[in-house]
Amino acid sequence: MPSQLIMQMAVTGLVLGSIYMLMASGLTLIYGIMHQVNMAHGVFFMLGAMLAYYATKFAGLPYFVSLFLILAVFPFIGILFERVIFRPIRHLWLAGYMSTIGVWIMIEGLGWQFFGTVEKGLSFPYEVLLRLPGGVIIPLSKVTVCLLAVLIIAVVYFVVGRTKLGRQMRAIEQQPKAAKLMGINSDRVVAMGFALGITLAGMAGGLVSTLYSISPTSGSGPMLKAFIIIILGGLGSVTGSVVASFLLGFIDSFGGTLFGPQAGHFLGFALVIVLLIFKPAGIFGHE
Amino acid sequence: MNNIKTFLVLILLVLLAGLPFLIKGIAPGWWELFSHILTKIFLNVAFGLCLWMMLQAGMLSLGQGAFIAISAYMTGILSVKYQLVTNLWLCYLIGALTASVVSLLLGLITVHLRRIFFLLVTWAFAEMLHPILTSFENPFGGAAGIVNIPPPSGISLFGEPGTGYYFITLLYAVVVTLIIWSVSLSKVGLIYKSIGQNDILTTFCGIHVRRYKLQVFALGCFLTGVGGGILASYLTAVSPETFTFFASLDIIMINLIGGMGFIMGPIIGAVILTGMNEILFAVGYYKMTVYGLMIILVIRFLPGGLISILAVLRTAFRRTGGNQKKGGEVERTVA
Repeated sequence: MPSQLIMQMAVTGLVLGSIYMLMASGLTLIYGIMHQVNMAHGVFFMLGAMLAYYATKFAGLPYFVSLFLILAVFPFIGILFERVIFRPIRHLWLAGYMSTIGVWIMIEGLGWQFFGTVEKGLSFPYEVLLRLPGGVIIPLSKVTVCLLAVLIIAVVYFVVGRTKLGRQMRAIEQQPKAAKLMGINSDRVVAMGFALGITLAGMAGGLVSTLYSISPTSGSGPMLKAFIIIILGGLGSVTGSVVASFLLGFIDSFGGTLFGPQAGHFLGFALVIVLLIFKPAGIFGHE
Repeated sequence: MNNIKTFLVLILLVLLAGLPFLIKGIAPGWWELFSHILTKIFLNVAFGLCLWMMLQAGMLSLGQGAFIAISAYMTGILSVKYQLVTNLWLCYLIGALTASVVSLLLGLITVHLRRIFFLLVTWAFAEMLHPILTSFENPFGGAAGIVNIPPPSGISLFGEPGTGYYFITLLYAVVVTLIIWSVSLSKVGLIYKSIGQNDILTTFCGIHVRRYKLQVFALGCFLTGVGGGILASYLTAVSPETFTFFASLDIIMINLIGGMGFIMGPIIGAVILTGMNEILFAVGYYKMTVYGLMIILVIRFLPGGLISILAVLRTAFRRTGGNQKKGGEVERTVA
């Protein structure tokens, strides 16, 4: 196999991995803080992509401004959903889980109605082909996606690790009752955590909109990957999910190129099965 | 009390058995529609009850559609693709056994997982089945699936096939209900219930939790699989698009709408959900929106399902007060 092809596949793997990383870290964050698996993550990914598309195509905004628009709008969407739908049933795991499925299906149905069935796509405004030594060609859009994703994850690490809000989030994750007794406004912090996770999904969607075509159902694929990633990485472990995202990104890229497009799904699941046999708590997880 | 219940069930059965002749006598044009909806209801009752039995042991599976698909595809492969087995009833049995074996294999590595992991892995399994079915042309027929699956042998006894499938699915639903009812009343059923409520404590009572969980998973998937085979005959074709995420979700929704506290819950849920699916067929993409909204509203305002209305009314009527079911029924059953 030529080394050129291997390099191209590695680049695709990196791009996929960085998208999965945004999705999976948002999911893990929400699980850690709300103790709830968010099945609506995929539709927020889709909404982010659609927002970027409509802001760029119809409102005429530059692409990067529409990415900032996602950053500005999604926290409020997240807080709204948390307040109206998830807060009243937060202590009930199955009810919470099923409500997130309800949100998923409701928004996807609205998406089919309003966005239509035609697949949409944006073109990257400053597209240049970077030629690396060795004959590898990388479009600038892919490099930008990777860099922005890493930047966003760095910001998340900073927020969760260094700020007061992050400390409050970690306190609620470890001991919700004790955190409340220490005077943490847990309702507010949970809402912020959910908003942060949703924003990550929306940003992943916004970044993807220049690389792949988007439709109302295009969120469910990345969401399934993100779930496989958090099973691999261990629920609640951000570092585990970052490592597992790139692992799955490479598996998808290499498997898809070598064995056909459907193989990626299958190999990811096979990995889950193998891992569950030998290390049920995930790579970095703890029971 | 028990006598009254048995009497009511017998009356219901007699009514259901006489229904085709009644409708054909009054309004023959409507029978085609009625038999279609009722056949679907009977299948959904059985599927919902199988999941209900697994839920008693705390195993919420989001992959039941996959087991239906496995059995349906097995029926199609055996009867049409390779024409190995000409007797369709044998096909259903082999299909159900295949589903059961697959569930055992999946269960071996998943039953000890925490409930949310179990849910996620069964979901991932069901999602993974779709690309496999689509990409392999040879046994599974690719994206087109398998067509021209014949009806079972005894179907001509009832005249036209609609009535035949009505009685076959009615029989299937009644048999599954009886099996699951007797299981839930037996000692094994109590063990399932105690596993669902507290599996660690159950282990300390000297019960092999893992074995019972595997057992209920395999039994539930076997009974589901029989219905999968019948469904394949009824639809005369199977394709990957027949068994999407919604097939699995519907089965959970049946339990959620009806209520998981009692065996009547999934039966009521199946009747209502199937009816709603057929009615909502007319509104196009809003069907998904209405469906999602319904999930949210049922969970928010009726967490015990429709059956909990009865329970609340009964306690209010008796004025005992103490044993009132306030919601959270879903949690207490599964958690």
